[in-house]
Parts: sequence; structure tokens; C-alpha cells
Amino acid sequence: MNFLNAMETSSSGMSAQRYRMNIISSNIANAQTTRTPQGGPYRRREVVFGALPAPRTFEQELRNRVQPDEPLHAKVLGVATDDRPPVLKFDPSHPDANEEGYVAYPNIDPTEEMVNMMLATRSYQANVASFNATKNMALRALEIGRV
Amino acid sequence: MAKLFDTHFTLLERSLDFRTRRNNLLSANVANLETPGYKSRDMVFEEALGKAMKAQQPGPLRVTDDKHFDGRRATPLELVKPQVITTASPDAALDQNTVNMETEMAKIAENQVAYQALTQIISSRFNKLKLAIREGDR
Repeated sequence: MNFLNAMETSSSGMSAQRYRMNIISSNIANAQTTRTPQGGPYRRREVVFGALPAPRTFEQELRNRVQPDEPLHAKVLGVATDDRPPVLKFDPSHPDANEEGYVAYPNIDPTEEMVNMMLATRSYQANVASFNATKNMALRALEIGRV
Repeated sequence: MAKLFDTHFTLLERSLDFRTRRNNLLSANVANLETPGYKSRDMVFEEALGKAMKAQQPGPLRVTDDKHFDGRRATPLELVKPQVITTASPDAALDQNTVNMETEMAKIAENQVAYQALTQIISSRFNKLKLAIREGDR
């Protein structure tokens, strides 16, 4: 059914933003982390969004035809690691200090992360709003013919 | 004699279908609010619908048989398809994404109201038919 398509598209947007939120949270949580399994300080991460066509139904596959009005789902294509250099702080007593007494901390800007977090929240809310609009339309359709 | 379900009914039905499709497309725009390179899309229907409505009138050629062509070359109302357009955006972002959240939300709201109006019109037509049927029962 057609309404379910729109709802699936909205939920793809929601889950993409939720994924992004997870990554932002991990950036904020690890703002001071100096040790990682890969070695060295924590590196800032960022999600990469892409627009992909919805998973095709059997019927569409059978006809092997892409409709021009096919809605594109928002998907997280991958997580990119930010390669900006770590911030060096002088602290010779720190166990992770180098020979000169400097400790490499992750280069994470709290303002930047907060702004991204607000963007993710607002995008999520926009998707919820369009989801509700679709739901209202579907409910209206059920009312046709009702006295 | 007028038919029970006339052209007007088909028109309402096609319009409802168009509103549903447009809602799908607008939802996809909102979902891809931050996808780099995504181009905002929309749907137009009025032009195609107008042509199909004109096609209800007889064509330029005279027909003497049901199987004759009358030279209209128009899509019948039942088969009219809305046209997908890429929305022009003067203020595209640096990542070439052209979705504007305010515009999209306004379009979704407008689309929703139009859908509600259409369902109400269809409902009232059904009610009128019902009334006619019931009154004849007395």
C-alpha cells in the first residue's frame, strides 16, 4: 500500500538521525579519551548520509522498472573518521605522556558536537511530523463513506 | 440520465491518488534533509488533469463506430499520471542539497489539508447517494 511507503521513508530518516545521534554521543563521551583499542587518542567520527531507493517489492523486480516518483530512503552509508590532529597538552605525570611530557587528547569541539546534536534532533522531529501527516491522511481515508 | 458514479467521481479518486503519491515524495524529501547532493522533488498534476478533462469533450473527427479514433490523442482520466519535477532552489547548500525544511513542511501540511477536503467531498457525495436511496424506501 502507498501510505506505508511514505511511513517507511520517514522512518528511514528517523533511524539515520538516531544513528547519527549515537555517533555524536560517542564523540562527546570520549572527548578526553587517550587510549583506544586501535592505539592513540580517540578520533572524532562522523556519519555519511546517502539517498538510496527503497527496497524493491517482488512486483517491481518482476517488471524491472524504476518509477520516476520512487521515494528515496535516507541511509547511513558509513562512519568516517575525522583526521584532524590531536590536541597536545603538557602533563608529564600522565601515563600516556610522550617523551617531552605532552599528552595527545582528541580534537573534539563541544560546540560543534552540540550544534550537530541539535540538527539531528530537529531533523528527527521533522520526520516525526511528516510521519504524523501521513498517518492523519490514512485515517481520513478510512473515514470515507462513514456517516 | 446521469450515471451513479460519474466523471466527477473519477476526478476525485485520481486527485486522492495524486495527494498520496505527493505525500510519499515529500516525506522522502524530509528524510533526506541532510543527504549531500540530494535534490528536492515535487509533483504536479493540474496540467495533466486539465488536459484529460478537456479530453472528455468530443474530438475534431466524426466517429460513426465505437472503435473509431476521433483524433483527440489524450490520456483518459483514469490513466492520468502526475509529473515529477525537481524543485528549483536558489539557495542550495554547499553540499548541493536543495531540501528546504520549511518549504517541505508547508507543502506536507497543504497536501494533508487538500486530502482531507477531498475525503470530505467524497463522503458527502456518498451520503447524498445514500439519502436518495433511503428516501425512496418510504
